Amino acid sequence: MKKGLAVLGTLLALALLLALPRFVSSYKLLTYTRFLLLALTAQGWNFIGGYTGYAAFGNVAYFGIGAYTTGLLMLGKWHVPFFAALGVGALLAACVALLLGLPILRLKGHYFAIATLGVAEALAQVADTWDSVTEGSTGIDLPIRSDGEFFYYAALGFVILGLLATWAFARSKLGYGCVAIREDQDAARMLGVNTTLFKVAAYAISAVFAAVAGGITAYQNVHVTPGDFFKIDYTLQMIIATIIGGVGTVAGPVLGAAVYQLLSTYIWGKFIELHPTVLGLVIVFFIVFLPRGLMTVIGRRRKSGERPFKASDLLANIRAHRVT
Amino acid sequence: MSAVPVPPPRISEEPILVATGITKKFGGLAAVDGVDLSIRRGEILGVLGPNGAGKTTFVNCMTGLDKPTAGTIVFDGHDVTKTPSFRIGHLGMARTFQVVKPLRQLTVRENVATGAMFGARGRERTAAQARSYADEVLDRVALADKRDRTATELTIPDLKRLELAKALAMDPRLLFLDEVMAGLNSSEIEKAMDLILSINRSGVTIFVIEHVMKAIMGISDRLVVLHYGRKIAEGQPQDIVESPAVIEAYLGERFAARARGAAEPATAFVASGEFRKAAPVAAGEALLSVKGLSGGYGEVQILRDVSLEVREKEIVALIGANGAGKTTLLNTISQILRPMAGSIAFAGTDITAARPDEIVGAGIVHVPQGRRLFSGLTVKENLLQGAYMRRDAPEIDADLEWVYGLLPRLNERSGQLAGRLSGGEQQMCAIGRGLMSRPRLLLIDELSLGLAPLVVDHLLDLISRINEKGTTVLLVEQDVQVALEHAHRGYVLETGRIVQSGPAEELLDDPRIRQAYLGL
Repeated sequence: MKKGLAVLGTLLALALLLALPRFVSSYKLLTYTRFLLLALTAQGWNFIGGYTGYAAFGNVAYFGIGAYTTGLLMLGKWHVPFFAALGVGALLAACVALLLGLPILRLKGHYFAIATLGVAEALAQVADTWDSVTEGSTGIDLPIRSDGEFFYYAALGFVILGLLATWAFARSKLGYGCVAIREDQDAARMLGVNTTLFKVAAYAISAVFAAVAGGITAYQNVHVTPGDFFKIDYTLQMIIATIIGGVGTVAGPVLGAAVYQLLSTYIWGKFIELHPTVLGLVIVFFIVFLPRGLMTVIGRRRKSGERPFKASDLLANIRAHRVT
Repeated sequence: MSAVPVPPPRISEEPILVATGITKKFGGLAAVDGVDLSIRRGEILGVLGPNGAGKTTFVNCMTGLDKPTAGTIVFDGHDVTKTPSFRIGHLGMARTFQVVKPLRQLTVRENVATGAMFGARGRERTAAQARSYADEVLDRVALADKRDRTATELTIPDLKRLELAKALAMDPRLLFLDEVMAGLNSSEIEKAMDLILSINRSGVTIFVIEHVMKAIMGISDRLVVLHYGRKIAEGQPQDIVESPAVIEAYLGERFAARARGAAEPATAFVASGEFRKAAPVAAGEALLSVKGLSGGYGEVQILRDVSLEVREKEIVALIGANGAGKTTLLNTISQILRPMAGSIAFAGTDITAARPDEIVGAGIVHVPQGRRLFSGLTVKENLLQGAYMRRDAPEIDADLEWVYGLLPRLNERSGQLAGRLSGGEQQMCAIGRGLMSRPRLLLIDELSLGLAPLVVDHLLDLISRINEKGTTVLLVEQDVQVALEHAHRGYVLETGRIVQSGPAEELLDDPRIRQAYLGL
């Protein structure tokens, strides 16, 4: 029955999202598109950061690769159609992630996080200095398309694909193997999990999502510069969204992105000056009270005998922080 | 009488694994030093040795987690010396970890399913097949009723069972078991022995490291003894336990007598030798007094209306089956868990709502199950952490020397990281850290877990000795016989309630207790 409820809820949300452009202004639609693009990057981060447990802090690198590849292919001599360009960008991001992942995924914990930060920084420098291709810090300009609904539906389509992909991943051997790596790498090896291969695969998948979001953002924003498309804010937002929603859950990143974008927009309107401070406090609230995300409130894992979430659990979470 | 009767066809002379000249060095120290060992197809090979003898390191080398510094390993005709560890499972070897490594946030079933997915080549399963096969395996190891719990909710003995289930799910031909019986009581050990025998009789060769002599004598076809990384004995179980070298290095006289008895099923274990036991205080005052205590985790109540008393200078044993609530009781006394109802008083002061640090300040020290060492600190630093609340620097140094004197192995290892110690050495370190706090009341959870018999012997004598010097002890121990031999009084806990209490001798003679916990 609970399963039926979840399916019904998902379908309802989907119908709402599909019909949305008819009801909101094109300015508001921009906010919703931004939410979907954030959801897409968060979905990607969830593979490496959530399921596999590797705190990747440089996924914006693949966002940038996607943006530049899509832009450059659509321009100039090639005039590649948008979706084909997007596909090539995703593929290129996956290849780069494979090559970089092999060495840096040997690192653990903070060391891995710092290495990924370095990768993102290095790629930003490449985009900034490789004038003959990227036009340096001036950036490139894509063909203009001022059709808000197009970007909204493109993003929505990919988010739905992402949900399906995450759902299938969580039930696949790849998913089980990645979770085993997160929980204990030695145990995973002894269970027969090819840890190197699985980690790199999860990392490459996360890169594909970031690249697709980057490509769509580039087309929508028209102007692509290293400063805008390699900034760490994107990485932080995708991580925060995933944590708010629920790390290592199928719908968590999407839910978290919705909450984050909603809060961000609302707080922006209310507290113009203190916007980052208030947003920061809200994020701290989430991490302290709901360290495993909103999904623990909404859809507890269907385990026998598990009771629904109660407000008192918020306090129990605090205690858990204190004791262990 | 010989050991276990062996039908000739089960064990073939042709070995399934041949290890030659295996050496593993960490820094300058050889944990395993030139060991030659072959495992015959179909046998159960028992491995004994003092804590830190290199038993687990040897298994790590066999399964690719540690690369041997020298030597070769041939499994079923293939040289696997340099095979990456994940492929070892595909070839048909599986292992359990002594310091358990569950996939913590997953359910028991998902843990086992993961093993079933990536196991022996040619018998892999899809994710869906693996999940249903996991149920079969869980039935076999008697964990089926807990299949939907997350691994973090399990007790140590159940985690050991989960280790076994994960390994079994991989369909191995050769199975390495690293102390899967530690922490089980006598009747549970018998069930575990039956299980291991049935796994073996279904065609799996088994290499088993175990300190529980009753078990290892009961199931092994052959025994090997390691000591300081070298093989010091190999042969029939009965010959091995008679060997003077093994008695000196590992068993100790008292346990040798027990082990001899264990091989003859008709005879009960009769311990010989004198036990140190401090004279009970005539009418000592209650140092710890627990009244009507209820407690548990979250909304799961485990303890129900528990009342007990530990008098000044007593050793009190708390016995009961796994899951009876012994660890929960200790955790509630030391305020790791908040009591739900009832009161706890210590030396006349109510401590029902005290903070854990106030508990330590008052003089209660808890040596937890599963050690909980600071693995990134050295042994010495861990010991000094035990004295964190103390302000008497010169005496701390003296106590450090005292602990080193009691547990010389800690002195030898004082500069090593605690995480690098063997399982048994970690247990010693945890006890040493507890002693460094100069407790008035020492709570010890599973003293003998993972320790060699000789060391258990030493530690129990040690506890009697510190008890004579005035420390009161509340001891949880699965080896009920050993616990009651050393304690003054005992309490029996069943499903969260105290069902019996009395002087230790009386409990030891009580037919119900002998049947329930000693398997006699």
